[in-house]
Amino acid sequence: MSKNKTLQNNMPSPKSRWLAIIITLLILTFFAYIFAGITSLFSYSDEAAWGNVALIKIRGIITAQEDEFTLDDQAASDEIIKLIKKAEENPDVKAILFEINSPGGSAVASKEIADEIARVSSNVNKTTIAVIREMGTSGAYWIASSTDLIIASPLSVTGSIGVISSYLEFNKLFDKYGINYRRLVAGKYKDIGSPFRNLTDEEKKKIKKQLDSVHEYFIKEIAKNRNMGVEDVRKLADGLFYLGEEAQKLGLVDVLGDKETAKDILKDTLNLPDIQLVEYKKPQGFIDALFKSFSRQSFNVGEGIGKNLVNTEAKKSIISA
Amino acid sequence: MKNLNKYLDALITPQMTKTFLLPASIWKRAGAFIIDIALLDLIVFSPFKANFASLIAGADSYQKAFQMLTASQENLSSLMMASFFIAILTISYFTILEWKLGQTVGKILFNLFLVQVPANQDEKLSKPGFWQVFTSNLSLVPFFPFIFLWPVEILSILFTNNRFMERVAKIQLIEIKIIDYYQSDV
Repeated sequence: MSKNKTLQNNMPSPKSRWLAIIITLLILTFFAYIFAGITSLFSYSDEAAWGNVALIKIRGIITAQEDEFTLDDQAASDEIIKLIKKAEENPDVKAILFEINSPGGSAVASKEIADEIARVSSNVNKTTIAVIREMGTSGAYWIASSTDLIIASPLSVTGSIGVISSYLEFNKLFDKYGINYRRLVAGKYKDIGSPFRNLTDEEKKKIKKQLDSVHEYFIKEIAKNRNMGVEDVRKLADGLFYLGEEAQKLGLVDVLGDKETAKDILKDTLNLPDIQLVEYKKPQGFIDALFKSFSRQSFNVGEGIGKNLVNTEAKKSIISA
Repeated sequence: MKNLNKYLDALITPQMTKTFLLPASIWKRAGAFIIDIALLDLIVFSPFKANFASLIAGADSYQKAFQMLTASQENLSSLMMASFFIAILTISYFTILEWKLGQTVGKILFNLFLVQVPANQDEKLSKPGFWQVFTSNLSLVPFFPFIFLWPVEILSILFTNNRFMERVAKIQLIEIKIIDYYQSDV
């Protein structure tokens, strides 16, 4: 048998050949869209990839370091400071815009970010502006106050200059179920603030004293950042929050507006023909994205199961008990 | 008259055909490759185009586009990831089709076949194995060190009519030429 006939005998028929090609192409198309979707997780920005104003978003609870197991937004000071330094080092970036939507958080983390912004603000080449969206209270307001200008929506919630250290106490619940808390400490105040036992009046006073110290520090920082008298700030620092419009009248906010207002101000201040925002954010690795995706799926599964387990009748019986 | 008619019949109707198996010509190779790449562009590359467009949005020159792509580590990572996925899909296309059919779409159109290099003249031609095809397609990977194979492949085709990685994998791209023979009794 000639070589040609052998080769032709080994080849599939034209019909099955084209069928194999079409199936292969369909499978490749399917995977191409999946891979493109995965890649798009890491292709940031509706904003331009290059710009003259850095945008750093501060969203969620302010913490010292990121908790990778939580699905909620977090603003980790470690990461924010890295982004600020990166924006500072880029000679093309003329200003840094902080978009804040946070209820506050850790005092230490808030101070770290505020100090870093104050340091950059002192550098004449970089203007810093805070834009408060829905919420910029407590530690988030501390951060905003260290910028050159604060812009807030008239309906933004800001202020809440105070310190909180509340917690749940379970000692009476334990008593009800016969659970004992065995106190074994060396150092009288070692377990101060433990949720498993009663807080004594003396301990309460000690904790309150420390909270007052932090509060006083907070007030002085705001007064320094906003060029206000300490007493004026103290009057506003009862923990109450203010809407943006009211905050402007009290001197806590400079301008009412949004991100576009910030861009207009920067155009005039820096004499730039066009403002090109470039978002600086923590690069998300493939494993991070995959892990977060699995976490979210697990959460959704758990939520679904929970909803089915606690049906309407069961909910009614729980409420009535 | 009878003999004349027979002669004329012989001219119109070939009485024999002879089939030649030749190494594929450079032009047919190039043509087949271009068709395959065009097909891949339509199917594999187009979903990634939106990602690339977002990275260089606003660029009005190649220089600006390059500057934007290399502006940050994140952009480079994104680009590397997309390139990696495109390479996987491209190699999959060539490997799967060449392994199963001995041909890709471009090769079908140019009547080219991928075969194992026979050990001797009497051995029958057959389709290459999976690892042979996979090895031969490694030069499609756009990363170090495979990127150094590109000039080697081009020089190999120019001088030996066979790709370097095809020689490594012991396979050959051939074309089938069928020539009609006319025989006359006159």
